[in-house]
Amino acid sequence: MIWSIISEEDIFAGQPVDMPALRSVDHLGKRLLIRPGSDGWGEIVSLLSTAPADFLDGRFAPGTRIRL
Amino acid sequence: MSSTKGLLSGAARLRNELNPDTPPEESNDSNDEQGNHLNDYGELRLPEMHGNIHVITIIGQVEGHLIMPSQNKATKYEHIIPQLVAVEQSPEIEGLLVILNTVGGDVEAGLALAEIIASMSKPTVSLVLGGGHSIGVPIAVAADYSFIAPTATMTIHPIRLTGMVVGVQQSFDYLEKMQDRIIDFVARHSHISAAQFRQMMTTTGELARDVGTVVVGEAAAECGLIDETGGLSQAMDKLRQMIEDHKASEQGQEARIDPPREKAPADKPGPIFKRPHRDWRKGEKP
Repeated sequence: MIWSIISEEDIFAGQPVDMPALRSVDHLGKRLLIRPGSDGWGEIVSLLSTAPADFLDGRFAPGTRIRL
Repeated sequence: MSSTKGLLSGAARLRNELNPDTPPEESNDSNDEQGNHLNDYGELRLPEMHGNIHVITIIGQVEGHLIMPSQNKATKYEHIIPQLVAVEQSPEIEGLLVILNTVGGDVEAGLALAEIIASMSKPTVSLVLGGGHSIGVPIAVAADYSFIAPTATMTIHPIRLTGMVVGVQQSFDYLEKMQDRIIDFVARHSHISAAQFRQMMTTTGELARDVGTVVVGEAAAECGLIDETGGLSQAMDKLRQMIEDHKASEQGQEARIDPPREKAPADKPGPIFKRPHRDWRKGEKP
């Protein structure tokens, strides 16, 4: 059951064709959400961590490409 | 030799990044991991920082039992719950800041997060930035102390049901039960009464496409939903103060526990191992 200011029609409107689903992976001991590419590499979308210092580490910066 | 290898692998990586369409070249050095690339580029490595305050962000939709299509920015409860457990378990972490900018989402996932935050033994402070709508409200009030930015808003509206309805009365009763769960939680963890919150949910004339109420910054604090208006520095100051109080409380308890058992009079009760629950909002101190 959804309780949101966004309507369910908008939430479940379907997936845009050019937007692949995100994957969560472990990389250097951190959990990351990445957007996989077709070349075996993925782009970091976000870092899943509670430690604020991790977000200052450029290795986990959004947009960084990592090998999957 | 190793520096030459490093230069070569750095150059290979640079080529890969400049030409993302071409297949990436493999490095010859098997020990050369991604983690070394900052050194290869000559960038400064930030010093290790171990803070005692950790942060959790609840952003976009709160995703629960249904996977939301990826055009939604979503916070997944399967990511957040283990993090909350880790924060509770880690002896190095002394306080948790929860930052919200959410449009709402799955009721059960939101309530699960709210309950787990409310049941943590470590001091927790929440900060609503931008918006803390719908299921974001119980998450925001679940913390020991809550802040809202002066420009942030919280929308309180009834739970909706879409799709085929088989039994009208049964569906209505179910919706009401779900709504009561939320109202009850919010009333227990904030200064707003259940009746006032329910009234805010069903107010007409405030929202163009829905019934409900939008409270902005100061109004959220005035009605007792949120403890105070403020920003990051106020939230951090409050959390630090609560951590100090928490430590003082634990030290006080240890002082009571410390005397060895053999010296304690036989007719006195034993040491208290269970920490009593304290309500930070009421200013309760040991």
